Amino acid sequence: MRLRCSNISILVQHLDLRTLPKQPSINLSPCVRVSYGLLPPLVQTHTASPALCLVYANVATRKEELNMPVFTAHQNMAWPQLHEDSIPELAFWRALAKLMAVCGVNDFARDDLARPDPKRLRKQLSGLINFAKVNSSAKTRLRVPVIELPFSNYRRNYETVET
Amino acid sequence: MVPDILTCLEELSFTVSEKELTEPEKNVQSVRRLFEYLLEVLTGEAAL
Repeated sequence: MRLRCSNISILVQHLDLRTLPKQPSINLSPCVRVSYGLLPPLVQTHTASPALCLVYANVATRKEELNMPVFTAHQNMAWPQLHEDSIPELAFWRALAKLMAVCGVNDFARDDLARPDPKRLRKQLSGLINFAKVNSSAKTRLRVPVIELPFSNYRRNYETVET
Repeated sequence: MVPDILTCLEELSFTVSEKELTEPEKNVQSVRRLFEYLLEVLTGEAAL
């Protein structure tokens, strides 16, 4: 994800850095810090911290993974073929709901995918953009690949078993 | 607000029309594709 510097003023509008003082090890660039407070964020309740963004980003959710069948769950179903469509759909929604919660949108529901509302959609996109900007700024500043989560190891092991 | 969102989405390499954001109930598939893309970009391999 590459961000052009010419649009930094727009990006700053979507940043909510109120939690940054609580993260002493992470400092964003001075221009971002100075601009914050002059331009209100679109999502007032956003609370994603850069550290949380980095940790969550390493979960590495991919579309292919969401569409993969859960073999342990299939063993307990009488007719697993009946759920071939519903399981990936639920996996996608679950992953998206988790991401939304990290972005500060805690009321994301199935209706937001099936019957999106303009006002709610704008709020959700603002949260996601907020997350993307904080994540990008933190990664640029830290320049380190981040913490390995157990899920990542699980995925690698899973792929090894599958191949 | 919508133009700002459109600009930021373009920064994230996703093009969506203003109408799709202002009338999402008529563009459910577009909204879904947008969420799928953002989920993959923000938590997928590209995010690392």
